[in-house]
Amino acid sequence: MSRNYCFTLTNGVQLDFKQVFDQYFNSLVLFSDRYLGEREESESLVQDAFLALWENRLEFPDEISVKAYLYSTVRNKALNVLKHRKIEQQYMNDILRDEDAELYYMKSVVEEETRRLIFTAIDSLPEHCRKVCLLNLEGLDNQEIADELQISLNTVKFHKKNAYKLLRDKLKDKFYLLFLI
Amino acid sequence: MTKKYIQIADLIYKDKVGIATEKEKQELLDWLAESDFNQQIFEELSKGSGLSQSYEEYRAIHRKQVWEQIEHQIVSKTWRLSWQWLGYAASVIVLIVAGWLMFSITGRDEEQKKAKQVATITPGERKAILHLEPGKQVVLGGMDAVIVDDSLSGKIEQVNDALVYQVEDGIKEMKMNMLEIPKGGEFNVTLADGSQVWLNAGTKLTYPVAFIGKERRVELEGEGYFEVKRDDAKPFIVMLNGMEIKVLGTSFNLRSFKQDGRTTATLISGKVEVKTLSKNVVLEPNQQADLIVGEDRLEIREIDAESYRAWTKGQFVFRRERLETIMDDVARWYNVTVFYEQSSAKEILFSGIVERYANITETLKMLEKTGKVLFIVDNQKIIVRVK
Repeated sequence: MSRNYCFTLTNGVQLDFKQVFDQYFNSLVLFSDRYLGEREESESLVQDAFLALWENRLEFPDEISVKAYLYSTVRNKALNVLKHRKIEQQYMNDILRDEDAELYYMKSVVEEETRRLIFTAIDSLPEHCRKVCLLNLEGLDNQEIADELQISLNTVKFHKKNAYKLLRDKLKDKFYLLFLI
Repeated sequence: MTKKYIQIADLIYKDKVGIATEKEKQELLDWLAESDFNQQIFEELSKGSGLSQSYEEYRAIHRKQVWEQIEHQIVSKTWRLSWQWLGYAASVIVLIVAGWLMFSITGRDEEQKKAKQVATITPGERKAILHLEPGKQVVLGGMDAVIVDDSLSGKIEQVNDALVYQVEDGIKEMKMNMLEIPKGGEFNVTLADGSQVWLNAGTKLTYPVAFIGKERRVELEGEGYFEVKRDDAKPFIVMLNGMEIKVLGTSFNLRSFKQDGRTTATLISGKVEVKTLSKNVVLEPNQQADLIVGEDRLEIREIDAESYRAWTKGQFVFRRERLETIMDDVARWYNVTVFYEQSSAKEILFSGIVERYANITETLKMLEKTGKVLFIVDNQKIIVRVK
C-alpha cells in the first residue's frame, strides 16, 4: 500500500502533503533561483523547506498560510545562503537591504505564484491546446499564433475557445468536488 | 505580507484567464493604484513575455527524486520516534513494534515492485484508425497531413491532432467512412456539416463524407460527445445499440458499449428526441435516457449533464458508479485488462474525480482510499481484491 501523507489544518481542511509538494516544488525552485542563481542549491534548499513544513504541519490555520510559509521559508533560507557567500556585489546588497528586499520579495512571489497558477492550468489541458494557450497568454494574436504553429486561423480560434472553456470548467469542478462523495 | 502577495497573484491569474469576478477586478485595481511598482509588476505579467521560456524551465525541473528523499527522511524520523518509545514500553510492545517495522519494510519493497510494474502502463493518447473504404485504412495521431483531397470525398485532413472534413460542392455519392478509436486512444472529428464529435477509447463512429439528402445520419458504438451544428432543414440522427437520437442542433453525450448492455443519452444543451423499440421521448437539458438494451427498459432521470462529458475535458467523474463500469473505462483508457478476485467487487459504488492524463496509480489510489478494495498491478493486468 502506498503511504498517505495527509494532514489536517486547524480549520478542518485536509491537505495531502505529496500534492502540495507536486504543486509547489518547481515554482519554489525557480523562486529560490531568483536569489541564488544556482539550480542545484535551490533544489536542496526547497527540499529543506518542505521538510520544515512537514515538521510544522499541524500548526497551520488554513491553506494560504501553508503557501505563505513555503515562500517565506525559502526566502529566509536563500538569504542565509547569500549572507554566507559574502559576495560584495551591489546586486546582492540590493537584495539584502531592507526596503528593496521587501519589494524584490513581493515581485518574486507575485510573479512565480501567477506563473505557477498558469502553468498548473496549462498542464491540465490536452497537449494540442497547450501551445495555443501559452502563445496567447504570451500576447500573440490569433494570426501570429497561426503563423508560429503553422496551422489555420480557425484551428487557433477553436483551440483557444476550447482552452479557456476548459480552464473555466476546471475551476467550477473544484467547487462541485466538495459535494461529491 | 506573503499572504497578500499570494492573493494578488491569484487575482492576476484570474484576470488573465478571464474568470475574475467584479469584486476581484476591483481588488486588483486597488492594489495597482497603490504604487507604480505594483503597476510595473502587473504590466510585465500581462505582457506575458518570456512565458513560454519559463514554462520550459518549469517543466525541466524534476522533482521525483527529491520527493523520494523527502519521503525517506520523513519515514526515518517516525522510526526514531518508535525507538524512543521503546524505552518506556513493555516487552510486549517491543514485539508489536518489531512486527510493525517488518511489515513496513516489506511493504516498501512491495511498493517499489509495484512502481516498476505500473511504469509500463500509460494513459491514453490521441490516436485513431480511419477506415476510408473496406481494406483501406489510415492511422491517425502522428503528423498532421492531408489524407484525401478529391472530388468524391472532398478534403479530409488531420489538423492539430483532429480529423476535419471539408465538403466540395457537387458530391452526389454517399461515401461512408468509419473512425475507430482503439483502447488507449481518443480523437476528435469535425464532420462535413461542421458538427464536432469527441470520441472515447474503444469507440467506432460511421458517417458519410458528405451529408446528402434530407437528414444527417451517423452510427455510434462506444462513447462520443457531440456538438451538432444547427440545421433546421436537416435533422442529425445517431443510431446506437437499441436507440436512435434525433436532433436539430445541440450538445449531448452518448454511451453505448456492448459489454455494458445499456445505451445512455445525456443532454447538455438544446433538445433531443430519443426513440427506442417501443418508446419515443423528448429530453430536456440535464436529463438522461438510460436504456437496458435487452429488455427495452427505458428510464429518464435528472442528472448533472456536465459530469457525463468530463472525459472530454481530461477527467473521469464517477457518481455512485459501479466499480465494474469504472474499471471498464480505466481498462479502455489505459489499455489494461481487469480481473476480479471476487465478483461482488463489481457492484461496489464509488464517487470521485480523477485526472485522465494522470498516471494510473492516481486513479487506483483514489479508489483504494475508500478502504473497500485493493488493486494488484501486474504488467498490463489489474487484479481487484475486496478488502
